[in-house]
Order: sequence, then C-alpha cells, then structure tokens
Amino acid sequence: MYTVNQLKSLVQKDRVHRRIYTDEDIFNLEMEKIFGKSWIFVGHESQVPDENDFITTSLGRQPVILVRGAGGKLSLLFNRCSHRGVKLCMKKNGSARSFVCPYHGWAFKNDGKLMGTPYREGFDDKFFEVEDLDLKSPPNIDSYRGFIFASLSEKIQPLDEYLGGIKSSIDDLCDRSPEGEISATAGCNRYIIRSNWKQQVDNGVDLYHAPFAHASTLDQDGRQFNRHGGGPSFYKPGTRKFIDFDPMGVWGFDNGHGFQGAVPQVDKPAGGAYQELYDSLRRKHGKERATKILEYDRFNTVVYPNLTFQAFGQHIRVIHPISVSKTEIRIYPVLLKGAPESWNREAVRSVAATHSPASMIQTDDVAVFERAQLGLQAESVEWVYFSRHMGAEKAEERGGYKGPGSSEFLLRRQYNDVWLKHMCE
Amino acid sequence: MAQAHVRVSPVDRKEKSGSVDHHDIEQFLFMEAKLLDQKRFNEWADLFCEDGTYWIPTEEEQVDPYSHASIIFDDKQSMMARIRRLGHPMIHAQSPPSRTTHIVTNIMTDLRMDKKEEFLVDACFTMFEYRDDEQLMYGGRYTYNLKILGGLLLIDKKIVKLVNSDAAHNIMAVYI
Ligand code: FES
Ligand SMILES: [Fe+2]
Repeated sequence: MYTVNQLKSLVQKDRVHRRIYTDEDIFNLEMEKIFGKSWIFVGHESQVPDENDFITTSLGRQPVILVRGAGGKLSLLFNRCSHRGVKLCMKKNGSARSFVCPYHGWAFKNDGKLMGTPYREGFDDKFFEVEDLDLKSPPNIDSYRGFIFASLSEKIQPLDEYLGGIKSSIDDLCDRSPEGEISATAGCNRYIIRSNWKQQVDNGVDLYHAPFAHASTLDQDGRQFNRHGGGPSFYKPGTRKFIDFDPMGVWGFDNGHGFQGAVPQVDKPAGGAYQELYDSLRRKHGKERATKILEYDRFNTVVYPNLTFQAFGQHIRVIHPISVSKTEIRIYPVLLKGAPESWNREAVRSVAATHSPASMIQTDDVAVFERAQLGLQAESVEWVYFSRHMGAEKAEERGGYKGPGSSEFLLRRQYNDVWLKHMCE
Repeated sequence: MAQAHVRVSPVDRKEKSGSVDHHDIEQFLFMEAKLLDQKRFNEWADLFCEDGTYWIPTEEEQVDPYSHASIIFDDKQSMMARIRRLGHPMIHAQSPPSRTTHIVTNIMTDLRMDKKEEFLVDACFTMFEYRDDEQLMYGGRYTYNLKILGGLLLIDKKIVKLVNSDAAHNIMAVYI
C-alpha cells in the first residue's frame, strides 16, 4: 500500500511517475478514491424514459442498475443481492417493477426495498429487524440536463457546483436540439483498450497529437473526412503544412474538467438538414442566437473522470476502467430531439466512421494508448511528461483557465489538483 | 476454372452467360475472402456495385445503420477512404499489420428470385486475425445481395452479423 508521501512522490508539476499507469495497487486505490470521491456519469435520462425502465452499467468497477421508479424518481442500485451477493439483473436494459434473485428467490422492489424472502420462518425475526437488507445505493445521484451522475461520497459538493464551468459544454450540446434535449437511444459502440483508463482521459483535450496520431485519416486537403458538409482541416489552406493548433485554445476548470477550442472549418456547414435545423432553432431563439448555437466553438469536452463528448462528432463517450491495463469505452451516438430526422441519421452513421471499434479515427488513438501501456513497462524509465506550454494558461473572466491549444495544462491540473488530492485523502 | 481468378465473375465465362449457379456463387465468395486475406483491397472493392454497401451492425435485429450504432457502414466512398488509409504508412492500428484467414462455409443460395439477375446468399464465416503476438477470432453470418450488372457478378450489399456484435471489441482495422 502507498503512504501519502509515496503518493506525493509520484506526481510533480509537469510529470507523473509511470507507476500510476502500471501499478495494480494504484489502480485499486483509484477505484476507491477517484471513482469514490467524484461525480461519476452513469447514464442519460433518455435511456430510462418511463417508470420501471432500467439499464445496467458500472460505477467504477461496481455493477449497478439505473432505474426509474414510481413517480419518475431515478435510483441507482448496486446490482447485488443482499443475501449472498449474487448479481440480480443480467439484462442490459428493460422494464421491471422488481428484481428477483435467482439463487434463493429474494425479491426487491425497483426502489431497492426487500419485499420477499421465501421460507422466511427459517430466519430469526430479529435478523430482518437488525440488518438493513434493502438494495444499497450510492449516497448521491443527480442530473444536469439529462446527464445522470452518481457519487459514492456522502459529502461531495452539489453536482451543479462540481460541473461548474463545464456545464457550458453540456449546454452547447443540448441547445443544438430544437427541444433543448438530447437522447442517447441510438445504441452503443463498445471497445476495449488494453491500457490504463487515464490514457483516454489524458487524450481528452489533446490537440498536440492530431497531426501525428491521425495522419492516416487526412485526405489531400488535410480534412478528416467530410462531416456535416464541412469537416475540419488540419492543413493551412492550399498547403500541406499543418495549422497551428495553439490559437484554438484549450480550457480547463476545477475538478479536472476541460474542453478544446474548435478546429477551423474549411467550409461552413450547409445542406438541407443543416438548414432545416437552423430554421427550427431560429424560430425558437431568433437569428443571432440560432447562428451562435450552431457554431462549433469547441471540439472535445472532458468531464473528469469518466465522460467525454463532442457536438461535432455528435456522441457521448463513457470510460469504464476494468483493470490497471484494461478499459472499456462505450460510445453513444447523440440524437438532437426535434432535429430533422436526416440530421440525426447522418450523425449516427458518422459515429460509425469516427468512433466505433472499427472506425477510421478512434482506432489510431486506441493503438497509441495500447502502445503507451507497452512502453511504460520499461521500469528503468520513470517519468511521463506534460510540460508543454508550462505556465502559459491564464485565468478567464468567466471562470476557469485558458491555455494555448496544444498546452498540456489540463493534465497538470488534473494530476496535481484532483488526482493527488483525492488519492491522499 | 479459368482465368477469372481476380475479378471473379462467373459470367465472364461465355458458356455461363446469364445463368449463375450455386457453384459459381461459392467460388465468388471464396475469391472475395481470398482478396481480403491477400490485402488486395482495391480489387476487393471492385467486387461491389457503385452503390454497394458493406455493413457490420452492433445488434442482431438492427434494421439500418442510420438509427442505431454500427461497427462499420461503408458505401463506396467511405470504402475507398478506408482502403486508402489501410495503405497509409502511419496507420497505427495496423502497425504491425494484421494477417487474416477467412473461412466461408454453409453457403445457401436463393436462385429462385423473381429477378433472374439478383441473388440472396447466406453463409457462415470465421476469421482469424493475427497481429502483434495475438490471435483474435471472429465468427458469424454473412448475408449478401449479389447482382449481375454489365455482365459481371457484383456485391450490392454485404452484411456481416458477428455472433458477438454487441460485445466490447478490440479495435478492428481490416474488413471481416
Ligand atoms: S443470494 Fe440472492 S437470494 Fe440468496
Ligand atoms: Fe485522437
């Protein structure tokens, strides 16, 4: 086990020790401390729209059921029978008023209340009085614009405060819908990364890697495919020289959240579906606001520690750590409620090209994350650096910090201010 | 048997013109698999009609690639982008490159379609993929819509239904 001083020796201003990616003890501690003391994204309201709807998922490594109970109330239940620990529900989703254990038939209402124990007379009556045998829940669950988070920590700050400046990214995504709501009901792409979960987080706002890691995706004019009628270009117009990513900026907030500025677009988005979406937003908000909403003023967003998403490639990405060197990623295409059907259909299709396990963009990232896990086995070399644009970030009036696009300051803040703090608590 | 070993198209053979039988379709599928195993991706893409599609859905009962997540949905344009990328020196997902063997079996051909020039084919497959000291195995069912166009047998639709389509997959770069 690690002492506080040993933990502190693993993180410096501009670097972390390789062991934080490779040591099982660190991973186990992270599940307790990082996944235990943060708000963890556990699902979207659209996945459980009606009373009795549920999905099963995991909070950190722990199996949970997210269920909408009577009166629409959301609960998150540990998916574990209170008798001898059997996983109660094996379905990925469905509708159920109760969950019945397959082992000895204990039955639980979908709010967790124990409601049936067969051959009860064999137990001492006091047993049921003394023990709390209802299904357990994490102490906190809350949602922001449909994004549901739970926390294992009793005394965590309210979700609203925890999200802070990164709410602007959730707003940016939801506001694109003429109804102000998204839904995550278009299925899921799942893939395994044979690396530590933090590789995916570290990459969340990394603009430094694009020209190299994604070189194979660029066409003649430096575009990563032609999405929504106007894909971003990584080349300076008319050249094969890479653009300077620094003017795009990268933003960071308390609790480890951040987002990337927008990659310059060659052409403005256009086309029938775009026009239709614009028109319905204009009818609702007026011209100026509609134009503003549909601008892509940011690229990827990270909500520390387990959620990333983007409006441009219209998806939500959820990080599920499995072991120190294995992580599952789930990608949910995002539908904008009230948007033209063709807009959403194109977005769903586009996610298959960009972020599926066989996609043309994400697979190069994953290959690199896996190679990091392989390289980090070199025990004789200790440090992983993130010193780029050290000290160049400036406090923003609206809160948070802004740095040059390729700055690695968000990692510096995540490891020093969030990771180390939680791990030492 | 013939010269038709690349663009395998039974109707290239004069004596075959117009009437394709089960054996021709089997040979077509075997040749298609061989082109993938030999990484002759451009020749493989030539087997598809201009508006042909290749689809790996995530769900068994999935109706289309537009309302639900897919692993791959390529039309000819994205197929060509994918194939260009497969030839790019900096495709990290193929460094080292995969070696594959496709095994195609249980081929059932529906030759009694109303239109004589279209065929529905159902088959089973396994694909071994070896890359970076690890061997993976994929299995499932193929369905094909084949068409005779301009005297050539071509793929209009290929659907790859993996038995574990909804699993968390290792990254994939080559066609199944
Ligand atoms: S373990 Fe669930 S009823 Fe016994
Ligand atoms: Fe990337």
